[in-house]
Amino acid sequence: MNRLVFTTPAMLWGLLAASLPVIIHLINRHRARRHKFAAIDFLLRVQRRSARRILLRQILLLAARTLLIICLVIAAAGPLLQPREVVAEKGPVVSALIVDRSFSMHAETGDRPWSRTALERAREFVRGMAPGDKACLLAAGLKTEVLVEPCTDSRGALLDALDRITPEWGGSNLVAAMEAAAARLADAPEPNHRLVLLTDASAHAFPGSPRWPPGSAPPEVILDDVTEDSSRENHAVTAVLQTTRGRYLEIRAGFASYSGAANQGLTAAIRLGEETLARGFVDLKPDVTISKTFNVQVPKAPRNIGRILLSPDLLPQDDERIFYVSGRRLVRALLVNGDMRPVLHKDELFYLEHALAPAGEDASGIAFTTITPDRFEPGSLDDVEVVFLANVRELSPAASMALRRFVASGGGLLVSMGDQVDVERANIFLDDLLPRPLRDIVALGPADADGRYRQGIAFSNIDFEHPVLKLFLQDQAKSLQAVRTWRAAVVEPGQTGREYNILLRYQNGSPALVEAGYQGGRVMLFTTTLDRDWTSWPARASFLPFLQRVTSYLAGRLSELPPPEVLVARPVTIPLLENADGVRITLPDKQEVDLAPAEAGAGSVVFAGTQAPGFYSVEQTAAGQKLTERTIPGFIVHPPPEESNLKPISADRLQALIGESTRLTLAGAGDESTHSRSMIFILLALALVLCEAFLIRR
Amino acid sequence: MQERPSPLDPAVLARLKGLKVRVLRVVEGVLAGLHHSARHGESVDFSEHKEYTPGDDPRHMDWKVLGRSDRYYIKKYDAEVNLRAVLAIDCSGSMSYRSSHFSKAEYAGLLAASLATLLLRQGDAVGLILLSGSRPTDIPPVGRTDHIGDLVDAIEAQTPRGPTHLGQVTSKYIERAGRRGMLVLFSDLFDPDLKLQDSLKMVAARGHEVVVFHVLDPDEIDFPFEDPTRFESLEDDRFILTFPRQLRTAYLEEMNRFLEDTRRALAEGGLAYELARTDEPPHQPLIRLLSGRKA
Repeated sequence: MNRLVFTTPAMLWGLLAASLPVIIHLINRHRARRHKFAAIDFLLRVQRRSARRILLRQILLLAARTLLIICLVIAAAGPLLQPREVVAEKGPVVSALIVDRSFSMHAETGDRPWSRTALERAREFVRGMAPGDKACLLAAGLKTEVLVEPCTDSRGALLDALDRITPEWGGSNLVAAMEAAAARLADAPEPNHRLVLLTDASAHAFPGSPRWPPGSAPPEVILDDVTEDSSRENHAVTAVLQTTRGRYLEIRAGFASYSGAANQGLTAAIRLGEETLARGFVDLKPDVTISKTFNVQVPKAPRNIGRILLSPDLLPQDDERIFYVSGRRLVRALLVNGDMRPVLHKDELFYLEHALAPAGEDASGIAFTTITPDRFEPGSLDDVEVVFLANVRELSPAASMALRRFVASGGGLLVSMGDQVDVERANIFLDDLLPRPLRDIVALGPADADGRYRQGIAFSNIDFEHPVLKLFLQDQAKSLQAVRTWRAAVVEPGQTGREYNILLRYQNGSPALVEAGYQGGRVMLFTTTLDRDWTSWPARASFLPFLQRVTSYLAGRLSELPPPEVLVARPVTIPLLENADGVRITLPDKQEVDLAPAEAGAGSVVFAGTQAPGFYSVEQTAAGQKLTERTIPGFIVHPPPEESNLKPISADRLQALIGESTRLTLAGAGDESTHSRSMIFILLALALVLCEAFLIRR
Repeated sequence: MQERPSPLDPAVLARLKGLKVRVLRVVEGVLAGLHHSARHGESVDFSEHKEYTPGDDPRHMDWKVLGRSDRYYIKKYDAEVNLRAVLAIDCSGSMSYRSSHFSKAEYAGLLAASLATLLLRQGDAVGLILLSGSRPTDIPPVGRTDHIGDLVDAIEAQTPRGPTHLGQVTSKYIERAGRRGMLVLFSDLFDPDLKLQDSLKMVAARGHEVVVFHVLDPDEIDFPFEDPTRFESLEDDRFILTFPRQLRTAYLEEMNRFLEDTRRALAEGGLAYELARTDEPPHQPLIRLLSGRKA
């Protein structure tokens, strides 16, 4: 036995309009105009002859019009045919409603999200509860939330709780929800238990078999598929990988098909803000994942959020994926030339300048200005991020002070040696800026016949873990190992307790490259020359990438990590700067959240509020103030990829999961139990319109 | 540019005050129409011979005389003179219906006065019967041209009312009809008396010429009504409340059957029949009649 219920019963008030045809007919009769007519005999004869036919036609017309209105009103009220349980015979029924609120429920059938259909079906279920029936309510999302318990016969409480359910962006575990629901049903004393699942029945939501509460019979399971038999063919953007190649960015996008049919000619576009950077076509074969590469120019803005858009389908939210793009930001360097020569290749900075901008500043991303030590003044450091002191004998006290302030506020400094350097003077004017004080300048190899030192020694103890030297691990290690150095400064051994790192040593164990922090900035000491006076490195291929990475590193670019990407509801660990005591996170909806580490002094904070997909901007804070430096620009949260697969679980599979002894009823589209009958009434209304037109023409 | 209406258009005629003026306009139209129509002979009664002179119509040459005497003579015929015509106008209530410029009674009066003028101009005697109520107005036939004034005054003075009694027309006509004459009836023929056609046929059988102008309003022929209407009789208290759209098809069938039956029945009795719609220029039914009659 089935019963007819309505999703929007308030629309049934429209049935009052069914009386309109009769009322209009009566008004017309009352308001008929009077007309004197000569051929009245003809009219009377015709009327007498056709009276019965006319009356019949009038009745049929009125009936057709009345039924037409009734059909339209019923169609608008959303009629559903629901199974009428044999409640009277078995007694009251206690139901546990489980509303699926997972990401896949955002899919739409005719601009109507499945999540809304599920809620309307749930409301209709509540309204259709017979006297004595009870229900409890659970929402299955990232976790199973019990909204109404114990089971109640209060429709108001149930309807209020349904109003609070909003769809989420994560997955759901309907098996866990069924177990939680069954536990609530087991507490109910009534004998008839029913578990109603309002879901899209996607197979991924049923990871295993539910464990029913011991000691009680498993409830009847009703699976109400809210998709109404609509298409489940879906595709999604699943991944974005990017590689910077000079001025171009190579973006490799992954597209997945969760469809049994091929999808030809889908359009994919890469957008930055409102600007479309690239566009292409994607052909997806059934149930495959493919990748497509786009090449775009590196954007000029420092930090960018890009989007890959695929032709939208029934789940448009997974047809878009955001990614982070670092822009082209020039590093501005100041080169202080301590040994300027009129012959170019003998100039102290000849190799350095060519290494930093071999094809212009646009290619390397490094712009530099060169001055001599006597021209160095505090204003020289404006807009500069890195300073190179190459073979500088001495700086003025004012310049030294300005240099200290510059490094302390986050700037980078590299000090290199040369024949102009006086160790004692350098220790004075650079003082604590040097990672280690200089002791002396020594020869590293035996003298040649002419008394000059050209037989040098190689590097050893290379710290390949360091960002500056990481790239030499594979590609150019040989080039680095072929370098010979025959003269260098030696530093004082560590005694002061100040932290420093020796990134590179000579074969004799003497440091070649020493790094130390100086308040907000960093200093590197290169114990030999930047030209070929004391070392052969400037003539080697590895010299160019080495100096470019040193520059980026000292400018803080290499330490800024790319934004992590996590799935919805997964925690994110955000590293803290040394001088930061927390972070301020700007959510995708522009809300701001301040977060402090769980323990004072911890090097990171953990953010767990990743409930929605999007880009979460992160800024480091100290005493509530934002810092300009940052460890990561933010992080990206994606919806779970398995939610894009909308393929349903089969009845047999579900029956096997819940146990053969558990009664399973399939409701929803294509089934006899719960079915929208709107289309039937619309078709009936259409037939009545045709019938009316036929009667009028007769 | 808007087309200028014909001076004989009912809308134009209706703007002329007085039946006499309208009649003159219609008669001019009839005469002009007859002038342009093909006419094959003036009369059927031989009167005398006339010696042929150039300009005479050679079709009237008497070839037998030419054969006998080798002389050219032209046959001359008697004109239709001294015809006694009686014009009978139905003045019942149903004739008062109008949907445009003329009621059926006004239109019938205009036709009758115009025809009377034409007849009097050629020397015929014209009488008038106005069929209204149980005592019809009866003006005997007179051949004077100034008689038209009496006829027009009588027509104008008449107000259509009451039921139709067309049966009176034949008895009135027979009463005064001596030698052969002509009876012209102007009516919508909405008379329940089924004997009318028989009595008209009887008049025709006695050698009289009978002409029936069937005057109808376009509403009665086309039935253009749409909205719910209470139709009320013009002659009594009968009415019908109906949705005209539902009756239209059946009504038109009924009306067409009525027109066809009437036309066929009158034709079988040798009567002339002309359907006159009150929205057509009034000289046209007269021209149709006169052209056919002279042919």
